[in-house]
Amino acid sequence: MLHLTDVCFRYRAGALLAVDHVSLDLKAGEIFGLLGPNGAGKSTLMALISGLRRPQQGTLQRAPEVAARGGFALVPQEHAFYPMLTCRENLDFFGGVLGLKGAVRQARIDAAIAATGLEQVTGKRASECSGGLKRRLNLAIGLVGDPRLLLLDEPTVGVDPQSRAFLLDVVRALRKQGKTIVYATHYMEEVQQVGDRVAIIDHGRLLCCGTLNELLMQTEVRLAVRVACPVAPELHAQLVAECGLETGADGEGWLSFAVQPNQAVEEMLRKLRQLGLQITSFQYGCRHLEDVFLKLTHRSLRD
Amino acid sequence: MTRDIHGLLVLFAMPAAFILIMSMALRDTFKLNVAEKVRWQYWDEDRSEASSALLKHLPAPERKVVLRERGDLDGELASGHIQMGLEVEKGYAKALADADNHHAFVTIWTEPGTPPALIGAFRAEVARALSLERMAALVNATAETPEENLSVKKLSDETLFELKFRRDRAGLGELTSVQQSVPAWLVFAMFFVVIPLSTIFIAEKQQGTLARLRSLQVSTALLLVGKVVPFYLVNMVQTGLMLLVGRYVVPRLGGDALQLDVDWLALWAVASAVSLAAIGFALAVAAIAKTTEQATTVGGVANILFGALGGVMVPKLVMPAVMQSATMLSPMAWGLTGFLDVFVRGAHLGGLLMPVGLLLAFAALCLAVAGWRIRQPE
Repeated sequence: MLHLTDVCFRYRAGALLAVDHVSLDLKAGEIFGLLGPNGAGKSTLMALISGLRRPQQGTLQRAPEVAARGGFALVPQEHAFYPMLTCRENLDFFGGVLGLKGAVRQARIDAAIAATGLEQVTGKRASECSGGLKRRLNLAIGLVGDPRLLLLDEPTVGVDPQSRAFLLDVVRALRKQGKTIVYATHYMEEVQQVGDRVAIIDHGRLLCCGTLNELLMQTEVRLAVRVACPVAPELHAQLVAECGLETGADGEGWLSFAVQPNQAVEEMLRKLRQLGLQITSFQYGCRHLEDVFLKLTHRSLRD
Repeated sequence: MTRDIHGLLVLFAMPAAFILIMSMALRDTFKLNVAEKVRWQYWDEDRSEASSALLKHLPAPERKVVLRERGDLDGELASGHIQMGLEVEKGYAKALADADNHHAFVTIWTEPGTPPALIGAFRAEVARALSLERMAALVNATAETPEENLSVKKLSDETLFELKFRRDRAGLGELTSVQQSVPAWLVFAMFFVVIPLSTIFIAEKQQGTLARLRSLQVSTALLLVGKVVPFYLVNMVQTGLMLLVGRYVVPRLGGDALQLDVDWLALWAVASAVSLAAIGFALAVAAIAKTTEQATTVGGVANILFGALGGVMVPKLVMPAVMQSATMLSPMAWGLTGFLDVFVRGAHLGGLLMPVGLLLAFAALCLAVAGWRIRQPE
C-alpha cells in the first residue's frame, strides 16, 4: 500500500532533520498508529505521505490505487473546512473538488454523513458546530472521496471524552470497511485502543515499529498492588530497596513494582504482606506504551 | 519595537512615505504660476516673425515642440500627452496689423480632461501675449499712418483677436469633480480586495484547508482561479454601484452627474483589467504573508501609497511634471488613466492598449508570484 525507504526531510538547509531516515511499510486494511510527542515529526511525515512535501532523500512509493486521485485523503489536525458553509455544503464542495458528480456525489456525501453521525447538523453552519462536531465534519470530508488510505493527523485533539470515544468507534468501523488508516497522535491510549501496528517517532526518527504486543513485550512486566492504608516513609524506602517499588501510592492507593523475569509473583506478594502491606487487590502484567516510550527516549510522552 | 515590524511600518514608514509623496505631489499647487503647469504644443501655419514672437510671450516655451503637420496636434490632444494645443492660422501676421480684422486667427484647443482652472490660466496668458503683439503691430502701423487717419478706438479691446475654445468631442470632456472622483475611488476600492482576500486565503492556509485541497491534487492554477473569479465578480458589482452613485446620488446632493455616454466595452475592459491587477496583487501579498496581520498591514499600506502616488488622492493634473511621471509607477495610475480615457476622452477599446496592457502584465506577474509561493511548502 505504501512503502517508505530511508526518507529524509529538513525544512531549511542546516536545520535538524524533521524526518530522519524513516523506513516503513503500510499494509492494506490496517490501522497504523504513529505515536510521538508534539514536534516529533508526525505531521511532516504525514505531509510527505500525502504528497504535500517531497522527500529530500529516500523513496516513497504508493500503490496505484492510493496514488490515483481520491485514493487517499488527508484529514489535517486543524479544522480544514469553510466555517461559513454548512456541513453539507462543505461536503458538497470537497466532493466537487474531487470531481464527483450527480448521484455518485450525493451518495458519497450521505455515506460520509452516516459514517460520522452528522445527520442532525447537515444544515448547520460549520462555524456554529461544537468542537466534537467539527472534528467529525473534518473526518467526514476525508471520507467523501471514499479513499483507500486515510491519513488522520491528531483527529481527536480538543474534544471531550464522549466525542473521542465516538471518533475511535468510527475509525474502527472504517477498518472493518477495509480502509487503511495512518493514525498520528500523541495520545498513547488511543493508539493502544485502535492501532494494529504502532510506530513511535521522536526527533524525526522511528524509534520502533511493530504490533502493539511486540512493542509492549519490550518492557518489563509490572505488578500493581492496591493498599488499604498509607505507606509509612520507612516502609516506602524498604519497598524501593528490596522489592523494586517504582512509583509510590497514587490517589487510589496503587503501588507499582517492576517484576524481574525470574521472579515469581506469588513470592513477591507474600513478601509484601510480610513487610506489613495490607493488599486489597492487585494487577499483574500491566504494560503501557508510555513505558515503551520512556524506555526508548528516557522522557515522558507529554514532556 | 523591532519585534513588531508591521507596527513600525504603519506608524513610521507609511506616514513618512505618505508625507514625501503628498508634499511632492502638491508642491506647485499653492504657487501662482498655474499656466506653467500646462502641457501644450502649437501648430504655426503662418510661420512668420509675428507668430514666433507671439509664442515667445507664452509660458514654458521650452516645452513647446514644433509639430510636423496639423494632424499631429489632434493626435497629441487625443492621446492626452498634451492638455492644450495652440493653432496659429496662415495670415496671422497680416491680420495682426489690420485694425479692422475680427477673424480669429489663433485657436486654443483643449484636451478634454483639462481642469477649467488650467484652461482659464492658459487662456489669460494667450490673451496677454496677443494684446502685446497686437498693440505693437498697431503702434508700428500707426507710425506709418498719417496722423489724420489714426483712430484711438482701434486700440481698444474690441479689436483684439477672439479665442476659440473647442473640445474634442461634444458631450464629453467636462472634467468635473465627479468624473475625477468616481474612477479614482473606484480604483482605490477595487485594490482593497487585498483585505478580505488575504484574510480568507491566510485562514485557509492556517486552518489546513489549502493543504487539504493540495493533497486532493488541486492544481495551483485552479486554486488561484478559485479566488480570482469570485473577487472579480465582487469588483464588477463595486464598479456598477460606484457608477450608479456618481450618476444618480451625487446630483441629488448638488454635484455634477457622471456622464455615462461612453463605450461600455471599453469601460468593461478597463474595469476588468483593474480588477485582475487588484486581485493578483492581493493574492501575491496573501501568498507571501504568514499571518493576516502581515497581509492586511502590508496590503493596506501599499494601497494607500499606490493611491497617493497614482493620482487618487491628488489629481495627477495638478502635480508637478516630475510627480506626473512618477505616477506611472503605481498600478492605480494605470487604472485611473484607463477610466479617464473612457469617461473623459471618449476612448474606445483600441485606445486603451497602454493602461490595460500594463494592468494585465502586472496581474500576470503578481499571479505568477502567488502561484510560485503557493507551491512552496510552508
